[in-house]
Amino acid sequence: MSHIRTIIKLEDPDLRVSKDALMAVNTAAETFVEQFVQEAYTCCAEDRKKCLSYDHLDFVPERVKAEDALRERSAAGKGG
Amino acid sequence: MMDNVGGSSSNIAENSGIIREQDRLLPIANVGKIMKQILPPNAKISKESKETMQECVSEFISFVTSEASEKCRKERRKTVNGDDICWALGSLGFDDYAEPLRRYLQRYREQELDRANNPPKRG
Repeated sequence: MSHIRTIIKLEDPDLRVSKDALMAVNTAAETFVEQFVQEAYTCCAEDRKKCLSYDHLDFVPERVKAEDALRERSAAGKGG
Repeated sequence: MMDNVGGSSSNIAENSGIIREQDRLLPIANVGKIMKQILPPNAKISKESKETMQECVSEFISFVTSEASEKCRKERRKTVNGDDICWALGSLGFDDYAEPLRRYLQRYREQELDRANNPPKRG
């Protein structure tokens, strides 16, 4: 779990994170990977391949920094 | 998932301000292990897709925690807790994660409480 703490600290060094928050992020991250891979493998199976490759993860949007995404999201909310 | 693979967790390149790749990402072995659990035994996973997944999951962690920390900042709290993470997941559209996670957290807290009240007897 130290890796998760490190990633969080990179985002905000002053942020204090409780043990159960780390636990929650850890579990959510695992669920995220599982769900993602499940969907990617469905694409892979449709492609009749046995190897999961980058192309099957191609429904990943291009990388956006979290704060930019949140800014866009709140701007869209205000616009609606 | 986050067992410390390959030694101690680094102090972000010994506090030199340089962010090393292994500090920014979760260990590829751990990510690969989770991917393998989900897939059928005959499925293979390319190195490239493990690396992509590594990037995605780190971005996901940052995304969720920044939303949770924003909530704490607005409420003038200094510490992010599990409930903030659940709230952030719901707020960011991961509703299907939030509910099971709340139940999981509840069980985890009960276990922690139980452990605190009944410490293991020595000898």
